Amino acid sequence: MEIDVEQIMQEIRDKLKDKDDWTNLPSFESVPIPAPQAAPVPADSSPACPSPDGYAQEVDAMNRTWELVYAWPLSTNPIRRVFQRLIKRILKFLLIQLMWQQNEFNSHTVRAMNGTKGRIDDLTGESDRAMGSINTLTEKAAELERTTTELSDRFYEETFTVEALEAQLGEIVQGISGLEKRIRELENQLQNGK
Amino acid sequence: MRVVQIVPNLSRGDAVGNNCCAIDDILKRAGYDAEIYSLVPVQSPELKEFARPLKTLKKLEKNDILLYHMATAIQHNITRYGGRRVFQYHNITPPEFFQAYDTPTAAACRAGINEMQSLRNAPEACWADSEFNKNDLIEAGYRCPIRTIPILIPFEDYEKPADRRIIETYRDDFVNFLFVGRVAPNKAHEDVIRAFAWYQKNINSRSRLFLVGNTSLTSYCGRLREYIRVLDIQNVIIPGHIRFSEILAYYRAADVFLSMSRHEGFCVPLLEAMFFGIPIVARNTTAIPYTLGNAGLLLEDNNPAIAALAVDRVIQDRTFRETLIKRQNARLADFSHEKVKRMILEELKSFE
Repeated sequence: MEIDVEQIMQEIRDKLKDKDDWTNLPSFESVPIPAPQAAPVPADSSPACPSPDGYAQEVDAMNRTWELVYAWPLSTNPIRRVFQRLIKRILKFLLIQLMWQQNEFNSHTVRAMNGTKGRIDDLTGESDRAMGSINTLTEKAAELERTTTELSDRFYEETFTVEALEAQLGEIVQGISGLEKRIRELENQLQNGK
Repeated sequence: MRVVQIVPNLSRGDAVGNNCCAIDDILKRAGYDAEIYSLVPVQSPELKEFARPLKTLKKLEKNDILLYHMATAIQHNITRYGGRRVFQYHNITPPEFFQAYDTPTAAACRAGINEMQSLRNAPEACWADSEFNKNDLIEAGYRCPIRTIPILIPFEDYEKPADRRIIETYRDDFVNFLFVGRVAPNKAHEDVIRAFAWYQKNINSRSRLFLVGNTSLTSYCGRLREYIRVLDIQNVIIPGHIRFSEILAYYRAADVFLSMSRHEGFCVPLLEAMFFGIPIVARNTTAIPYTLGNAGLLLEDNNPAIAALAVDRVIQDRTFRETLIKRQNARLADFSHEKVKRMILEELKSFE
C-alpha cells in the first residue's frame, strides 16, 4: 500500500497547531557540562554500601577507566626517553599479555556491574511503582474504613428504628389481638342472644 | 593477487574492524592472498590471527593492492609501502562536536580531517560507505574514481540468542524507544531525550527510552543524566558497556528506533533496526537519508514535538508501520552480504 509521507508529516504539523505548550521543555544548553570527575575513591575509604547515586558514579567511573592501553607518556629528556623506550620494549612481551588478561577481566566485571546497575534501576522502578500502588491502596483502604464506619453508624440507627417499629408493631399486634378477642366475645354474645 | 588492508585499530564490535575482517574473509574465499595490518597492535587473542603489526609490513609489489581504511588520523606515511592504493573512507567526525567535552578527541578528529585532505592525490581509487562520504571526498579534492560501497555487515551475528531477562523485563504494554550508538555529542542524544520527554509528558506516560552505546565520554554522559533529571522524566535506561546478547535483547524489546543524530558517515544501527523489523524515525542529516533510502520516516529538524508525534503515528497507525517495515526490508536487501561482496570483488577485478 502506498503512503504519502509528506501528507503524514503535514498532519503531524497540523496537530501541533492545537498545542501551544510544546516549547516548554527546558533546553539542553541550560544544563552545564559537569566538571571532570575526581579520581576514583580508594576502596578503603569507600562506604561499605554506597548510596544509589554513589553507586551509579562508581559504575560510570568503571565504564570510563576499565580498558588499559599499552601506552604512556615518555620523558622529554632524549636520554631518558631512549631508556624508557627500551624498557617499554623489553617489558612489552610480558605486560601486553597481562594487560590483555586484565582487560578481559575488567570487561566482564564492568559488564556485570552494568547489568547489576540495570537490575537495581529496574527494581527501584518496580519498587517505586509498588510503593505508588501501596499508597493508592492505603488511601482506598482509609476511604473504605470511613464508609464502613458511616454504614455501621447508619446500621445502628436503623437497628434502633427497627426496634422501635418492632415495639410499635408489638403494641399494634397486641391491640389487634385484644380487638379479635372482643370480636369473638361479641360474636358469642350474639349467638347466645339468638 | 595480493590485497593488503591497513586499519588504524582492529577491534571487535567496531563497524570498521568488523568490515575489515569480513572483507578479509571474502578475499580469502575468492582466492586472493589477503592480509590485515593494524597500526595499533591487536590485543585480543581471537583477532591476533587476523592482523599483524603495521611496522612489519614490507614494501609491496607494483601490482599488489593496498586497501587503507580511513577513519581517523594515523600519522603514518602509508604511501611509502608502494602498491596500488585504494582508500575506503568511513568518515571523520567534525571536531566541533567534541570541543566542549573532550579536547584530545577533538584534536584527533582535526588531525584526521587534515590527513584526509593531504592524502587526496595518494589513492588510485576510493570506496565510500555512502554518497555522503563520497561527497566529502570530492569536497576534499579527491579526483580519483570514487565508488559507493557500503560497509560489509555480518548479519548472521544478529541471529545469535538475545538476553532473555532483558526481553522478559521490557516486553510489556510500554512503548519502548531505542537509539543505539556511542554516547557522543554528534549523535545528539539530548534531542532523542527531549523528543522522548515530550512523548512521555504529552502522549503516553507508559513509555521507556533505551540509549545503548559506549558511555566512556563521561562529561557528555553526565550532562545527559542531569538533563534527564531536569526534564523530570522516567524510564530512561542507559546500560553502558554490555554484552552483545544484551544489545540484541534491547533491539528485540524495542517498538521504534529514533535517531536525532547530526553526523553519521553510514550509521550501521539503522541497518540493525531494519534487520530486527523496528520502524525507524530519523533526522534527515549527513549519511542518514542515503542509508535509509525511501524507508523510515525522516524529520527535517530536531523539533521534539514533531519527533514525538511522528513516533506516535508510527506506533498507532498499523498500516503505516507495516508499510515502513516493508520498505525497510526492501532497503535492507541492498546491503546484503552477497550484494556488497559482489561489489567489492567486481571492483578488485577491475585492477587485474
